[in-house]
Amino acid sequence: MPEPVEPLRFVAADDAAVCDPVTGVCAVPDAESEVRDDDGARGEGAASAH
Amino acid sequence: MTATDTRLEIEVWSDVLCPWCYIGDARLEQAIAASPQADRIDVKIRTFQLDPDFPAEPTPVVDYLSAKKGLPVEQAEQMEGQVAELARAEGLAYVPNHPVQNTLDMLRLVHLGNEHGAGWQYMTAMQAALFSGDPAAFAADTLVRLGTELGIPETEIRDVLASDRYADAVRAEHDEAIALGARGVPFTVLGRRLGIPGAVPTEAYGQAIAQAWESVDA
Repeated sequence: MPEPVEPLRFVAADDAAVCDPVTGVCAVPDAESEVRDDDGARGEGAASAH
Repeated sequence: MTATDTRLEIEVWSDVLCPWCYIGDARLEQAIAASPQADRIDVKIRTFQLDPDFPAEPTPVVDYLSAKKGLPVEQAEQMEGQVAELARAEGLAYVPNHPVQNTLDMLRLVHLGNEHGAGWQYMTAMQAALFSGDPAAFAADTLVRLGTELGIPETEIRDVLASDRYADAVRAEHDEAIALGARGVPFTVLGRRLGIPGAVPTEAYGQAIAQAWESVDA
């Protein structure tokens, strides 16, 4: 398994849809995304599913 | 090494019952197919178990969300409907209120699939069975059928199901994703340089792939 050689740079979208292992909820984004550079993990949405 | 020898590895951490992984994988496949470097991109599935406490028996997802997560039934049904619409927009079958169940066995089999070069296909086949509403999606015979259709020997699949083989690998890949910054799935890493924390539109996957190639070629 390859090892990371440097911290990841996150290319995040405001409406990235993600399933959260803590809440068990999968967010449903409610707007089209705009891709941009980001320096931290993101991926939240407005509503929830699983 | 020449430029044409250079390859980009895209890793996707995913769980079988994660609808955004199902949708995101389809979008990523479209983005890769549209990339000028499509033949030099390798996709590797990684596993991320969302909830080790999922029920051992199939349970309708709305019941699960309501009973275990405290979500109002109406809200859970509405969300299922929204996800179904988005899945169908990608050409994917999605039956709302499909069953959910603990996915550890499935994820262990994905690791077996990876050893046979078919982990990605095994994961997507499991997701297609689950989200299309197959009531036997979690059954051993279904998992055997899906695996053997990909060329994975039945004896190896049944050996995995009868043991705890790859359980450590599932936990290790979960921990690795967290260490890389994942807070959920899908979690996509391109060339171990760029990360995408969640499912994004096909165009956004395409932009990230192009950006990753710029780093590779730099």
